Formats: sequence, structure tokens, C-alpha cells
Amino acid sequence: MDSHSYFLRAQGASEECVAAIFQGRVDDAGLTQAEQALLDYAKLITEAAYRSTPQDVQKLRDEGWKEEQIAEAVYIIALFAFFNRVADAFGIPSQNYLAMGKTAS
Amino acid sequence: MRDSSQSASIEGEQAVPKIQIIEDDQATGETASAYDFWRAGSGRQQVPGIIKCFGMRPDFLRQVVQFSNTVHFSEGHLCRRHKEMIAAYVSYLNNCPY
Repeated sequence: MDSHSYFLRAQGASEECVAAIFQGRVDDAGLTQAEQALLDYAKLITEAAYRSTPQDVQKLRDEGWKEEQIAEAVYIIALFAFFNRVADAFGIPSQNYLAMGKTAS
Repeated sequence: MRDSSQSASIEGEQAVPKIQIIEDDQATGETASAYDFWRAGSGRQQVPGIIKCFGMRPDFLRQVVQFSNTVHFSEGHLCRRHKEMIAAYVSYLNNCPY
């Protein structure tokens, strides 16, 4: 959460967006409808990829996401399933990048 | 924020990982070389905890760094901002404070 919330802010996301996503409040993150659909899909694939349907993917196309973007989103979602599990199993603590970044700016 | 109390045992001010990690100043041989590989690419000296998790397999560590750079730390079909948005949210969903 911390590392990539920090990187999200570094990539130009607003403080409101970063804070909301850090707390899982996607509806309060000031996202476009398309971005919200992308994160809803990320939640589905994270929690129950086996339950995803062609209609779930069509929702993303209907919001303007291209096929290659949807595929890449799946790669990132799965990549973080991998990293999150490694980090949690090893028990590495947060680096507090987000808090450090705030005081540095 | 989700409960992160299971992430590591706390000893004084320093959280102790649940599985041994080879720290920067303890790395030797191929692990040290793999940490230097990360340093050369990042321009930073202190190897992040997530990279040190792969210190026991320095060959794999190099591949992890490479594929992370290829698919995540890059502008691709998705922009970096959207990738970080996904990464941050997925980490929240997976209850990963790191």
C-alpha cells in the first residue's frame, strides 16, 4: 500500500486520490468512470478471478479500455498478488514512503 | 487502514521479518552482485525490503527486477499512473502494508 501509494502520488495523482485509494475508498478517489471500472475489475480479479465473466471484460471495453490495456491490467493485478504475498510472508515493514514524501514536499 | 500487526514481530524500534532476509551489509557473492544489479538500475544505494526478499535466489532476483521494470515501471499500454493506481489498490485488497 505504502510504496505504490507513494509512486501513485509521484505520478501526479492528487492527495485526495492517493488517500482514498490507500484506504480502499475507490468511490471517493475522484476517478473517472473508466478508472473506477478499471479498479472494480482489479478487485474482481484479485478476489475471485475464476468468477470473472466476458461481461466483466465488456464493461471495460464499454468504458473505452482497449484490449491490450485490459490484458496489461491483468498482468499488473497478478504481479501485485505475487509481490503482496511475498512481502506479507516475509513480514517486511512499510517504508513509510508516503509519510516521508509529504514532509519532504 | 487494515490491520498490519501480523506483518512482522517488533523488537525495539526494528521490525524483525518472519523469514530471514539478507541485509545490504550482510550480502556476499551472488546475492551481493544481484543487489548491485538493482542499485545500478535504480541509482539508489539502499536495497528495498521487497527486493531483499529474493536474496536467497539471486538469479531469480535479477529476473524479478527485470520483469518489474518491463511491465510495471514503464509506460506501456497503460500509463504509469494507472499501473500505480492498480498496484496501490490491489495492495490494499491484499492487506499488504508495504
